Amino acid sequence: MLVRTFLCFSLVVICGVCVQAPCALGSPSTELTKDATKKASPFKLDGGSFVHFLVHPGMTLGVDVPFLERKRHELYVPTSAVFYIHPKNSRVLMLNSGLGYRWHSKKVVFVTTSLRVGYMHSFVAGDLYREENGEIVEVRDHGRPAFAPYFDLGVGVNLFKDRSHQFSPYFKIMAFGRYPYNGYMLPQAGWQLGVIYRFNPGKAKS
Amino acid sequence: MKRVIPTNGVRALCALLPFCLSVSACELRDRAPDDHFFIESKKAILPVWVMRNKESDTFIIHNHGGQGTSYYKTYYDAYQELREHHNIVFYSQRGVESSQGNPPDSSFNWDQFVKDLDLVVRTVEKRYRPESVFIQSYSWSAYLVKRYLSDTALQGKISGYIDMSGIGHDGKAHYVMMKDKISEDADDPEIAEWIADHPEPTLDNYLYLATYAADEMTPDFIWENWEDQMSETALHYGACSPVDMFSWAVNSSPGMRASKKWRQMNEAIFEEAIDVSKIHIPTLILSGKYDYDCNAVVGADFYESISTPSDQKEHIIFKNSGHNLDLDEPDRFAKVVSDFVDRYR
Repeated sequence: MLVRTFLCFSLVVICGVCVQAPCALGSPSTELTKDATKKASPFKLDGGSFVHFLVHPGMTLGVDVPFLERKRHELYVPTSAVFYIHPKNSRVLMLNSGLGYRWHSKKVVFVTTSLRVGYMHSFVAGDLYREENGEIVEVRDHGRPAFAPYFDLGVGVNLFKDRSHQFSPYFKIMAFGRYPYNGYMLPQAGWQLGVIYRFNPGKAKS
Repeated sequence: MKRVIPTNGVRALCALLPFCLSVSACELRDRAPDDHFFIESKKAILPVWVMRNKESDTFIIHNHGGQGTSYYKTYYDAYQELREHHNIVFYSQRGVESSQGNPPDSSFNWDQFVKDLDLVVRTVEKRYRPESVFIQSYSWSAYLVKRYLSDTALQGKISGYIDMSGIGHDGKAHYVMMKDKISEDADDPEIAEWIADHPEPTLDNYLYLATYAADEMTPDFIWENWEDQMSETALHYGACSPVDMFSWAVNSSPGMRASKKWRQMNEAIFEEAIDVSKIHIPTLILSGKYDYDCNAVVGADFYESISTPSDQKEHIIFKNSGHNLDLDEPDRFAKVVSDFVDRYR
């Protein structure tokens, strides 16, 4: 079941990349940036593993839309889809969006953080039973919705100082919540190893 | 410019590495239950874990202690030994450990907990078609199981009851018995004075006394046993188990213990005594000699109060145990439980 779920999700991610890539490449980037970044696409794909707690596997894929880019600073709107599995506990799908910030050092390292709000839908990872008309029956789980605020903080590497390379790998830790859960907001955490992919990267403004 | 990133294949492998490591780490659970499922009950999702023995048609349903843990016990040697002979079922009660959903506070009452337990019994019956079902309670959940068994129709589904370190069926009587026992055994004039000043059988007095007894009267070797077991299994429980650590931490926190929904349940123990004379099925009562939370005097009182014929009930005191006798004397625990189940299945 775990492998099947992973393969399905991988397929969704690949389809997502295929659909979003041409859109991003053909976006009207010149309207958003003017000089040195003239030919660059404003969109970035942001994806990788999403590991809930220490070892629960998952994946994430998102799009970053910068609205302010300077040599050292970058403000953007991150939007992500996350899927992770806590074996024998739950399967979780999360969609979130908010405000992100990156600070680029003089060399190649950058620090990234974001604060988002999101929607979470969780399913039990196993058979589900309930009583219906006095009988115990196995039922299909339609999941449970939850509000999911999200915060992350991480470090990454620009492979070239001018950010002209397409790939920027990063490591993040995340904290997020799940409400309602037993009458309170359940705190959650995880880590992420991912990569930012720039379509047709230009050079950063000075 | 020189290419710094390796080939596409290597890139893909790097991206998948954390995922692969995650999966393999969770496969380390060699002592883990073999089967699991969930039960939805009044907005709560109760996880159920089963240590399967496919050669046995007998199931023992374990009920964990107050806001306690259930899954942790699957790693105990005692249950690994029991698994050699029988099937053992663990579940999280609503609002406890890794139980999911969002049950309303109003559902935290004993009638609902009895319904939840009955759903577990009936789901086990549906899923496995067992020859017989036994119920085991630990500590606080003895009140739940005694309440369950005091309903004659529900009692009819159960082949036998194992009461391990159980709380009394009457909270007030339990407090009186415990304070007398602690007065007798504690060599401490201060606690004797405190007890003399607090004769009222209330929840708060009981909690104070239980905390004092656990801290001051439990022998060191019992704490050492407990610490050894925790250190051995902490990684499994923390990183590789189905239990959500954050959920466990919040649900078992002092703040949650003091919350209104749990307090109303604990206070009911002191207000609603159970008529255990209705219990007539085979019963095994197990007490630890050094248990000053639910001492053998409480077990002896329960033994006398039930209607089970004397040749079908037994009260055994474990001489080297405290409150967790499945941890302190695992071999003996597994043997007496297994023998009892074999006799009455």
